[in-house]
Formats: sequence, structure tokens, C-alpha cells
Amino acid sequence: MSIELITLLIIVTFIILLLSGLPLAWVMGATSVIFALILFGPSVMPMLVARVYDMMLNYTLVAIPLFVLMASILQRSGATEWLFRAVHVWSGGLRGGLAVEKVIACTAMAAMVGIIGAEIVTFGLVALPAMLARNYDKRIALGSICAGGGMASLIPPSIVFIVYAMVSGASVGALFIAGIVPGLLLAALFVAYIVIRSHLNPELAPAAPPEERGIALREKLRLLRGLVLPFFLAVTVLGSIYAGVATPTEAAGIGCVGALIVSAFHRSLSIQNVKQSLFDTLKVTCMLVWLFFGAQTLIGVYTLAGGAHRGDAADSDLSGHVPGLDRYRAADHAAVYSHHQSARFRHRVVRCRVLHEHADLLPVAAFRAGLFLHEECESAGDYAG
Amino acid sequence: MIDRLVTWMGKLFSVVTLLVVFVVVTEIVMRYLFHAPTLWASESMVFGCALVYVMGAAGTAHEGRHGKIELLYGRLSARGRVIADVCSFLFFALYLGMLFWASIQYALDSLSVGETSGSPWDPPVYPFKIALAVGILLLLLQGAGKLVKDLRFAIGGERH
Repeated sequence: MSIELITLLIIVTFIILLLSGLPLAWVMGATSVIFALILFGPSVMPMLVARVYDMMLNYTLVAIPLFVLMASILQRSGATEWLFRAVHVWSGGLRGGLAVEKVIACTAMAAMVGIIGAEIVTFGLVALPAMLARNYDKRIALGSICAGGGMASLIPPSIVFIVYAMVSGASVGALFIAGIVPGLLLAALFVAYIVIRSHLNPELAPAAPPEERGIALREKLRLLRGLVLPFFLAVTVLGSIYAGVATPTEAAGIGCVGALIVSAFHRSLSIQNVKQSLFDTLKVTCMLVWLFFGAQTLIGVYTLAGGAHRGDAADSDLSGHVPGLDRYRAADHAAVYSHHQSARFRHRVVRCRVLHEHADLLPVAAFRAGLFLHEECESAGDYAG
Repeated sequence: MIDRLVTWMGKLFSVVTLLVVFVVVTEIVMRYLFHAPTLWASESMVFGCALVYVMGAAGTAHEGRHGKIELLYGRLSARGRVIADVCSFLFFALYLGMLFWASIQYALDSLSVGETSGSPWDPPVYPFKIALAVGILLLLLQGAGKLVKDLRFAIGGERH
């Protein structure tokens, strides 16, 4: 079977399984197992497990449960309600204030948490009726909630960036830095859009009635005080990454401790809350990580089937003419295999077995495996630096 | 029974995340206050989280938190969805069944030579390979439990 046909069949299988309502994590895994069995037989299954195992012991991945835990503790601490109330009080007099407030509050929250998922739904349920009751235009109201909800993926610490760094080998810290300005710029543009639109057409988003605006300055300042700690927390977490004091993973751990302190400050630190945050974290983490496991198996099968070579036109054109190239490919597969078996010298036994089977290809395989290891060292250097 | 087991395992292993936080704090304190970075911290963080991923997966599946696409599935009736679940269970079982079979060999290989991580700390790694197999088994059990319930509903039509 040619790689083009295999690619097509994989995509078709994938889509059919996805439409059947099977969770995405299992769809990817099932697709890869089906094609692994058809193309190579059960002997490649250990390779798939090795890929899953490698992913399971990925250092960068540890940042995900830790950042999720930090967010989860903060959400149960009452700090987020405080945040929304403070922004609400300060932006009430503005035309389109409610919508602006959503964007600002979401941006501030995004700097504390790496992922906003279900919260945006609950938040939308509370915020939307309030805006509609004040005769906001439906599109402005919904738009501000959705736009604000997306900020968490751009403003550090963003889980999306961690995942991207893991896949591409880029540095998490550098990606985080890269997200700040575009994130803030985007938030500023959202705010500007809402303000300009509502000034041109006041009916779209009327300002708060005077009685809601008459909150004493003292009360306003009191609300601000509650924001100091979360702000300090966000600065500490990001600062320790940029200053090179801690790896993103360690910074996430520090963030969890900070979140516990914030939670204690709001008098909502209880065993029950922590337990619930931990279980919530586990669910989000497992959902994400098993997606990566599924993707790892799928990538493994596709690479073995020759998918990684297809982009290289010269390779496929030559394969018919150069007798050694297929053997080179076999060596490459052995290298991919031994790489996953031997990464960081963990699986010495299995690696020896592979290399015995392909002893004559050892130099090529070693060269390719060396390249892989080199890449790995480079990305490891990124974490250290 | 299975449902309670997987939820309990999930709750139990969710506490490991907190242990990982303590490890991080210990490492930072040791490194900056005592100038004595530990050998074991980063590896135990990784191993701790690995346990969370594999042991929590079944509990996550029980709560229906593994994301799916509801383009067609969401439009089916309750019974239609159950029937779709029963059909797609075959693929779920194929994936995790094959993975389970291979992970057992993988773990046994590692156990038989007492494989260690090869780092300066050099802890044994076979417990984590065994954990992977156990986690997959829990997922399979959870899936089988759900299948039985689904079949009862699809055939008998009674709510569960």
C-alpha cells in the first residue's frame, strides 16, 4: 500500500470513528492500532507502548497538572469572584462597561491560570443575563464573553504553549514571553472596539444607571486590596521563569503554593476544597494527557508507514532507483524504534535486542538515533537555560 | 463496584499531585537556601505525575470527561447514543486491549531485569511500567462496566 493511500485511509477511519461519538483520545489510539495491525502486525505494539511510556515520563508535561491545579485552587478560593467584582465596580460608569469588564477580568484571570474551560460557561451564565437585562446588544454581550474566554490560551502561563513547546521542542519560557504583548494588544483592541462601538451607538451597550455607580471610594479601594495577592502570584510565577530561577514546571509548583496562600487569605482553604481541586485537576490532566498518548501512537504508526518521508520529494523519487535507500529506511525505522526504546538510556535491554536484529545497520541507526538524542539534549538545554 | 473503584483510585492518586508540589518546593528550597540541589526531585516529579495520568484515566472516563465530537452523536436520541457507544466500544477495546497486552510484556521485560532509570539517582522504573499496565486495565474494566449498562439499556430500554 502506498503512503498516499494509507494517509487517506487513516483520515477516513479517523473521521468515521470521531463521528460515532467515541472520545478523541480513543479515536486516535484505535486508528493507530488498526493500521499498526494491518500494516505491520502485532509485533509493533511494544513500540506504541514505548511511545506512550516516553510521553508519560515527559518532564515538560508535569507543568500541565501543576498549572491546572493552581487554577483550580484559585477558582475555589473566591479570588476570581473578587476579581470580577472589583473590575465591575471600577468600570461600571463606562459605556459598554459590562462588556469591557468581562474582557479585562478574563485577561487578568488568564495571567493567573493556564486554561479556561468550563468556567467560561458558568461565567457566561451569570454575566450574560446581567448584560441583556441592561439592554446590551446580544452580539456585543456574547462576543465579550467569548473573546475574553480565549485570552487564557495566549497570555502566559498558557497550557496551549506548553503543549506546543513539547511537540516542537521550543522553549516554554520563550513562548510565554512571546504571548504577553500579542495577548495584551488583543485585549486592548477588544476593549477599544467595545468602547468605540458603544460611543458611536449608545444603544448597543448603555452605561450603568447612576445608582449602581454610587459606590464609595473606600469600598472600591477595599476591593482592589483583594487583587494584590493574585497579581503578586502571577508576577512571581512568570517572573521566576523569565529570571531563570525556576523551570516552567517548577514555577507551576510555586504557583500552586501561592494559590494555597491566596486561598488561605480568602478564608476558603479547607481540606474539602483542596481535595476537590485535586480531583478536578486529575480529570482535566488525564483528559489532555491521554490525547497526547493517542497522538503519540498515531504518529508512531504513521512514521513507520513512511509518512514522515513523504514530504521529502527527493526521497520518494529516488527510492525506486537507489537500491540502498529502502535499507536506509529500515535503518531509520530501527533508529526511531531504538530511540523510543533507548531515550535517555532507560531501556537498555530492549535496545540491545533491536540492535542485534539489525546489527549490520548499526552505524546508520546509531547516527539517526544520535540525531534524535541530540535534539532531545537541545530541548533539555532549553529547560535548563 | 467498578465505578466506585475507578473513582476511588482517581481520588487517591489525585493527592499525588499535591506531593509533586511539595517535591517542587523542597527542590527550590534546597537549591536556593541550602545550595544543595537534590538528585531525586525532578525525576520524582515526573514519576509522580505519571502515576496521576495512568491511574486517573479510568475515573476521568467514568465522569465522561474525555472529549468527544458531538456533530452527529449529539443529535441522536438517548437510545441511539447508547447504541453508538456499544458499537464504538469495539474500537475502544481494540486500542486499550492491544495496549494492555503489549504493556504487560513491556512491564515484565523491565521487571525481569530490574530495570532502573540510568540517571544519577537511578531509581527502578518497572513500578511505573506496571502502573501503566494497571491504568490501562482499569480503563478496560471501566469501559466493560459501561458496556454492560449500555447493553441493558439498549435491549431492555430501562434507564440506568
